[in-house]
Amino acid sequence: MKNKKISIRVIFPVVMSASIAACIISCILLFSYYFSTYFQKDAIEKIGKQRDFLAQSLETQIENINVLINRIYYRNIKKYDVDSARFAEEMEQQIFLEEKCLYGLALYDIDGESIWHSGTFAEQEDAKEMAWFLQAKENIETISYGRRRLVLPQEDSYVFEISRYVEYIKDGNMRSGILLMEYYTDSVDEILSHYRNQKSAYCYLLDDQKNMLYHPFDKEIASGLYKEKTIEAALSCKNYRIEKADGQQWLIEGQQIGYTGWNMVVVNSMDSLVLESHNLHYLVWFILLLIGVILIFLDTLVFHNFTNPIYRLLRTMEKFGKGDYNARAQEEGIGELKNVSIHFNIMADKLQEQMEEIRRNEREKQNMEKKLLQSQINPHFLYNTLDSIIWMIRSEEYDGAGEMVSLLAKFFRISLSQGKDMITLEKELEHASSYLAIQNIRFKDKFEFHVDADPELLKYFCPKLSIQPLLENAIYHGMDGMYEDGEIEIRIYEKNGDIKIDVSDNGPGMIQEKIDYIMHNKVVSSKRGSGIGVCNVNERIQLIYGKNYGITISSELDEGTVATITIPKMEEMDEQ
Amino acid sequence: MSSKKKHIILILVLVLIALISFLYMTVRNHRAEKSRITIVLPQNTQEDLSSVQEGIRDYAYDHQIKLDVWYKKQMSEKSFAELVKEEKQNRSMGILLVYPEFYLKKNQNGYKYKEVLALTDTMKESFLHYAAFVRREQEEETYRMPISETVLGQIKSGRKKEVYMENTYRLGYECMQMIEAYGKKKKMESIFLQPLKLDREILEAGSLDALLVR
Repeated sequence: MKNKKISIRVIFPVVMSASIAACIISCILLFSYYFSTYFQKDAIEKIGKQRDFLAQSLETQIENINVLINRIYYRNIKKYDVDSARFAEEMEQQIFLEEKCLYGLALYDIDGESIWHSGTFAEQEDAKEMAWFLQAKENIETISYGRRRLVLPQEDSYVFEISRYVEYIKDGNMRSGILLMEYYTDSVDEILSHYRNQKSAYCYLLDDQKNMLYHPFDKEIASGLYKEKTIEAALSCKNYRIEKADGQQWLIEGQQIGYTGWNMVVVNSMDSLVLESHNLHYLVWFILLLIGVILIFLDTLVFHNFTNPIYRLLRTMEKFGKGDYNARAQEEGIGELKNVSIHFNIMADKLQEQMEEIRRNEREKQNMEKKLLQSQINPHFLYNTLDSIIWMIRSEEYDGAGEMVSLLAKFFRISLSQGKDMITLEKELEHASSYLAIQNIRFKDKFEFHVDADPELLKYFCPKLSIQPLLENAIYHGMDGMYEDGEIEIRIYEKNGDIKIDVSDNGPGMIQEKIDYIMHNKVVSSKRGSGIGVCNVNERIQLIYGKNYGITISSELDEGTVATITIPKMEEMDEQ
Repeated sequence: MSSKKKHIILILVLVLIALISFLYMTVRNHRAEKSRITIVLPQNTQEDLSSVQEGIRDYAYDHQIKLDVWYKKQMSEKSFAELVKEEKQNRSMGILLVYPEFYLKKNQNGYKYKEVLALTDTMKESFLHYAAFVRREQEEETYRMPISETVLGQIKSGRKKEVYMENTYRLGYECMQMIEAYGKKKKMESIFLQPLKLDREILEAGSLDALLVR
């Protein structure tokens, strides 16, 4: 359980998934932030352009009004005597020509007394107290734009009171006065009504006294159902301003209209402005979330593909470790992962092979030990030797019989060696000498033998009964067909730091095939011998000392054979 | 919890967020279509309903409400019940009867529909909820929108000191407001509106000009 908690298989996908989720959420937030800012800027720019366009249209219209009032002034008022019939005629003609935009005209002297007015004009009492009159009187160089006034309720007709200071001719004298022109608001209303007039986006027009000249929701305002809350903000802002009202953000853009002192205000709900971007937002969010899901899915899939072979390999290794040596990993996974499985399988194969060899060597060793035990008390050798002793006694060769008994006793004492497997070279040589002496007596001096040993080397240990099989080989094969001229030599010497034991004979020699057959097949020289083959001795030496040691045989036909045992110098050795 | 379960939960959460966003986007686009109010108007009446209709229309436009408008010459009790049932099935937020006295007979027991609001002068007692102007003692001085130019001229000239104007635009607007509130909160109340005072000063100021036009 503890291991599972810290398993990379749990931590890595969770960390990766959490990272992907965090990245996606960050992307969503960043996208929302930057795009909202972008859309907001874009919306402000667009609204600014619309505002400029509206203002430009209004200014063009104001320009036309200015042209009209100036034309009336310069072409009529300043040209004709106000008492003349021509003056009234020209003025009526002017109204007739501009009847679509002109409701009425009136001329007052500087004291507010009416001099002339058109037929439709409703004469105003106390004209000199009126705002339009006072403004025109005070600003004689400019045209004054006054209030908006309802003139024809049945036709929904309003007019702007536009006035200017004029000089008129009366009785041949120039006098000062004020011209009032009542101009229909329709042309201005039409320009402003082109703007979307919804609660979320509208525009309105204020005069310099903050009186409403145009508002799309004038009925609601008059009914008390709506209150314009942006007037102060609009008049205080230079370009645009974002204000919070009624739980919403409002973009307020004001623009002063030239000559008039009017202020046009464009109001837009920020929510509705960025509404168009919402769909894009949701679409991008959806795509990002979808990417997140796909990434997490792929992360899980790839990680599982990556870890599953490792975990299967781990389970195989556990099984192998528990002793199931036939367990092999499935060779799967991506790239190097597959190689890991392949190399594990190669390693397992090699390990199994080596273990098989160890087992086989163990069996071999047991077999050898059994044979050794048998050889220690080889009945054939014993019977034959005892038979030879009996014959010697019967032939009254008591000294020879005594010597043979003595040699036999020495032979068996060393053979047994208290059950030890390793004995000193001195004892092994003594044992070999005893054996050769006994065989020499038995074969009636058929051969001679010599022992040439470096006394310094005799203290070293060697496997018991390792020389005897070579001697048996020399006697039964090398001395075959020899008559008193056979020679067997045992030579012990040091070479390259190792001990060499040569057993040579002057027999007929062997061909290479026979040497190979002796070296690789478990054959014994004679049934009367130890029962241990040269091959067995070689394997036993290699088992104890390694593959660098063992027996080599060299032979030349009609010259003889030399069998060489190579062992390392070891003074003491663990029996096992 | 196993790694696999955590992954499934995480993926489900992300899919859920994506679906909710997508649904929200879809629902938001169609939300306006869900708001619907039924208006029943008298057919061939001499009454000037333009201001009431304008109030209704402006509210519907401002609040993106779809109007189901019926013009009725005559409407029996049965057909009225069917209309109420049918509009309920159409998920209408409520029904506004504009001057039902022109097309619906008085019922002794009254019409006990909670979702119906009647804009009426003479059938107040027939409905649970109604909208009407508060009657003044001097009724001859009270005029309904739009006020004639003659009366306006009399005020301007000083022949009439003051009159009272029944703002039918506002009444229509407020009726819509009430029905929408009922659709959201299931709470309907009757509406009583005071007539507006109109004198020379007010006319000169021009603050009510928008209500004086036809």
